[in-house]
Amino acid sequence: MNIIIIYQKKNLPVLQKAFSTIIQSKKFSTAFIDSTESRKIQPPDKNTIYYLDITGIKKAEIEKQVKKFNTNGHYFAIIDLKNSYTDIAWFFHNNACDYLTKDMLVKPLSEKRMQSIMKLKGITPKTQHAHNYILAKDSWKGIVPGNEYTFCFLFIEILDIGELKKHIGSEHLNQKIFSFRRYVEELLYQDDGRCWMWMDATGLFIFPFNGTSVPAIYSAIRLIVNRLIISLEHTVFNQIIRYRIAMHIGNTLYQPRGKTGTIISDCINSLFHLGQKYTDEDGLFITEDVYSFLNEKTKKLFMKAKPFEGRQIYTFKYK
Amino acid sequence: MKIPYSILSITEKALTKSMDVHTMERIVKSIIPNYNLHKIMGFSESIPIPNKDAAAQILRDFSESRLFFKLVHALMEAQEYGIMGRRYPIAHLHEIVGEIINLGFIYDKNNRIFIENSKTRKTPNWGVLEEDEEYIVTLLRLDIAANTRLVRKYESPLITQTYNNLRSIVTAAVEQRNGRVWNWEGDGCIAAFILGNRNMAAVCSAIEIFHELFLFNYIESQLPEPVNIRVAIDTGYCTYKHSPEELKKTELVSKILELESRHTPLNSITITNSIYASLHAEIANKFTTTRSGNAVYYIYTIQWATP
Repeated sequence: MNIIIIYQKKNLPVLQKAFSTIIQSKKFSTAFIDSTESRKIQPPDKNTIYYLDITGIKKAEIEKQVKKFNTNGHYFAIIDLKNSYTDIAWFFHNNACDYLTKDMLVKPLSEKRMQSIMKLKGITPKTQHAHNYILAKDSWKGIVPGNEYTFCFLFIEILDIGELKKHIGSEHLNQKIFSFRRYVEELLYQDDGRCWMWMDATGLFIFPFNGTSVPAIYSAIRLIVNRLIISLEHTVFNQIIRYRIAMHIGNTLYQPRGKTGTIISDCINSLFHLGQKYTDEDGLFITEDVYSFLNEKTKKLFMKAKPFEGRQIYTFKYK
Repeated sequence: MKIPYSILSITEKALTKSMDVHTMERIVKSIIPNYNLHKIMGFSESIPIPNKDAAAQILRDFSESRLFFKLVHALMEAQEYGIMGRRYPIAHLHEIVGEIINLGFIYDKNNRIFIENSKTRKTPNWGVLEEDEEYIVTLLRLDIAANTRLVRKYESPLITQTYNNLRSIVTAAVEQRNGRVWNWEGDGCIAAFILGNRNMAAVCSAIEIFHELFLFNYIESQLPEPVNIRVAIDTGYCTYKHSPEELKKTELVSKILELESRHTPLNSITITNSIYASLHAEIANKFTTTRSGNAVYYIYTIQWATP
């Protein structure tokens, strides 16, 4: 289950302490989002509870936010550090799951509390790898080299390189790969993606994770369904290329492109394994971490595939 | 469109410096066959016209963009391929072309014409097609299936929003390949392609429209049922008309409307033999052959392979 805490800036230390047990728990994925960024919350995810810190917010604004949660079908709970709301029942009448005051946050919240909320709301626990998401504020603007952040990773590899080389020669092949790479870079740039590593016919793109959704999934789908057109229109020499894409969400230390040689990341390792060793097929493969952040309609475009290295994998249904 | 005086002035210098009056006349006659410089300037045939005066007169007569672009193109040809076996290095040619680009045009090497730069402006005739003149054009006709039923069944704002989204998808796919949507009506549109490999561009646009529509129907659309379309593509000579109503009366447009309505199944693309022949093999393989009387058509029905 995902727990997202929408905090007021000055309350962050208190809330981090209060949720420390939950953060360390392997049963939950937790993320903190600044209240100024909360407008970006989109997907109606039935596996997420949003804790909204209402300290110092006007009543009208709180009611608006509660209405929005209900409209989007989000589970939500309230944090009120100043005990400013007298009619607490109003929140529960409007589907709130929990209400936390300052006194209740002196000690870290227990896992048991979260489990009873899940039981109350009928949320079934999913076996998934829990993460402590480290969200960068303001996307790339908030990313500082040398620090660890949560990224959505997109691995892309051109297949049948040997065959292509036979047909067009190594020099032309390099030109073809270069033109393809440039096209993918331009496409993914629109989703705030950057090419982080590129070796031969394999690339790794990273997107600062916003804690709520994976916008890059639509570009990845387009890359798959438009493969024929992309091969002919956006790469040189009229040869069709096959490629596979793998996506994952995880934490890594960030260093600028070209200075990534010393980074040791389990998450990147495992993504390269998924991209290169999972199957020989082309297509789009995503881990359960990505899948859990897709909206319900998009989830229907994917189907369960066999697990890999302890992770459930989903594959795009169409080609 | 009138060409600015500064460009006319450079071109006048270019003509004066690069060739004699006889060559100038030869170039001009390749554009206007009965052009008679002596007659226009009031000189008898036996009197030589000074280079500068001849160039000035030609530029006065070619100051309208349609003719001016043809003149510049003729100068480019004279420099690159020559006239009667002799090449003429044209002074200031780079400057002239640069100024035309600054006006918002680009040179299309495939068709050897100046066309408007789509980043600067987009007009249905690419800034160069002329009323009542014939061009080889590839047309794409898109029809929204069961349009009348959808319009009657659902509320107007919902239909308007859905169709606006479809329109954006179609316009983006067409204009990305330098095509133009010539006419959009309630139940569909006609788009035209004249540049580069126009047949491939039209077919790729159609395929992309289908893919985008699939994602739209699945993920974004608020309509309880998917929007389905039919697409037909054909190529041939078409007399260009500024008025969409007049365009509809042309032979190629009538032909493509019939191809779409009579020979195109739901969610399919139907193309004619001439389009099929110019496709890349991998794209052509997606089409299946079908016959109707003596005519052969090729149909691509969107089918998704599940792994």
